[in-house]
Amino acid sequence: MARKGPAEFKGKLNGLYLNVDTNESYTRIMTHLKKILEESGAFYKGSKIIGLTGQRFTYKQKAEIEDLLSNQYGIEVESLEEEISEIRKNPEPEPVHVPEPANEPPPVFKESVIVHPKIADTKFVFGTLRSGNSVLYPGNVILIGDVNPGAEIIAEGNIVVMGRILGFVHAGSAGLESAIVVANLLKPTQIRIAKYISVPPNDDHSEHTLSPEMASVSNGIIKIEKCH
Amino acid sequence: MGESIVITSGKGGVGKTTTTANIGAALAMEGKKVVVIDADIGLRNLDLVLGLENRIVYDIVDVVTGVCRIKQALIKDKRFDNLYLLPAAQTKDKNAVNPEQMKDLIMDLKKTHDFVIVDCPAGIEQGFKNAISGADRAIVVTTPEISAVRDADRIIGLLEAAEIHDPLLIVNRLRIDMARRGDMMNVEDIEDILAIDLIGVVPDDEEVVMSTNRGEPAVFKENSLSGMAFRNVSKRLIGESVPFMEFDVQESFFNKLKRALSFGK
Repeated sequence: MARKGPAEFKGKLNGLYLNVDTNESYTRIMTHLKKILEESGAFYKGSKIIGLTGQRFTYKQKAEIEDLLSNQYGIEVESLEEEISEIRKNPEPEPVHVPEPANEPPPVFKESVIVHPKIADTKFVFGTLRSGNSVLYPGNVILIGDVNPGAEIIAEGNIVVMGRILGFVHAGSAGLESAIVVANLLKPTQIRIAKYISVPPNDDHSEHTLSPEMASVSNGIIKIEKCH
Repeated sequence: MGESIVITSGKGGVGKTTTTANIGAALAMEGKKVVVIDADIGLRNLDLVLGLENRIVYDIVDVVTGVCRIKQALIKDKRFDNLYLLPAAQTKDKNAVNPEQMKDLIMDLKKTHDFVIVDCPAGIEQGFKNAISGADRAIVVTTPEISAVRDADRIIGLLEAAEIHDPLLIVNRLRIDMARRGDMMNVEDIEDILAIDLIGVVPDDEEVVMSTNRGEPAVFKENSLSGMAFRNVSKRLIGESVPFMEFDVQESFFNKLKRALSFGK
């Protein structure tokens, strides 16, 4: 059958599947498909395509494929509906844009996407972070628990801790200077917001209080103050 | 070209990290340019003992993986300009570094420092192998307990297998009164079993606990016995011959009387 490439035909019980690479562009798939058919189109004549695996194509693209297969090579096309459960794994995904409507972010996030492309999502973490634990997230992080010394949270957005921060926190790690860190007790070993680094003084004897503390960057330094 | 020394023990909790911090600080007091490396990736402590925890920006894994240059990761001590710390990573594990990388790293550091002191993790696995690669000499720390001495013996065997010959011995946390009474192994017993050169005996001292918790090595305390012992170790390391301390514990009145009477006979 077809050689290795971004597109191939796979035989199933009741017909053939058109199997394409998940990460390949439509144009390359078409080029490859044409090549296969040129070489061995006669072999496939009279057979029946019953589905498509690996990608979702637009109606226009499907129509093009159908036109190519049935009109030029006499291959019957029953369906080009995709079977997502059988996505073919590509070992080396290329960063090629594939028109996949399913993968676009839901329209709910559209507005925030414009402001900070990645800070739209928030991760909730439950439980205390102990020494050696680390939470890395390209968005906001909310922790229900403490951050012990030796533990770290690195977030591209804001960090909110319902508990004590005694370890290491880095908010706005991708450079967002307006990121903030909020916690019931903010006594980190080291705190970073965007490119700024700060070490709170040792003689700070603030205790757990009801009003949380907030760290933010103002005039190039990190300030820790009471919320409200 | 400097010298690299690994501080190891096999058993945990015998005082490797405390020893590393104190010897590093004592050598710096002698005017040497010293870098102490924490090789205990995932369970770092040396930064705490030196009181430098909150200054860590980059660590040893960042250096070997090329995230930063060595110079950026070295933390200058608060008290001495010629003492530096290369901290371990806390969120990685021992496999984040391999012996070849450590060897290259220590080689680089030796070019710019008189002493490179590596704090070895407990155990004989990957972390130990990393820590001893690149070491010119080794100091084995043990306490006067059979378990610690047994582990030290195994470590000495492994060091010899790794072509690190003539390790030096530090007997840590010796309780002189107990050793006198014969309730604890004494230094001679340990030397007898391990058959390596002794470089120091450090008495059990409350000062060590207190200074460790404060994040400043005991060698800074002029009148501390253990601090004195570590200062002597560092002097012996740079080739001075310092006599071993006489640990004179306060004899009780009754003992003195007994001795005086028996002497008279």
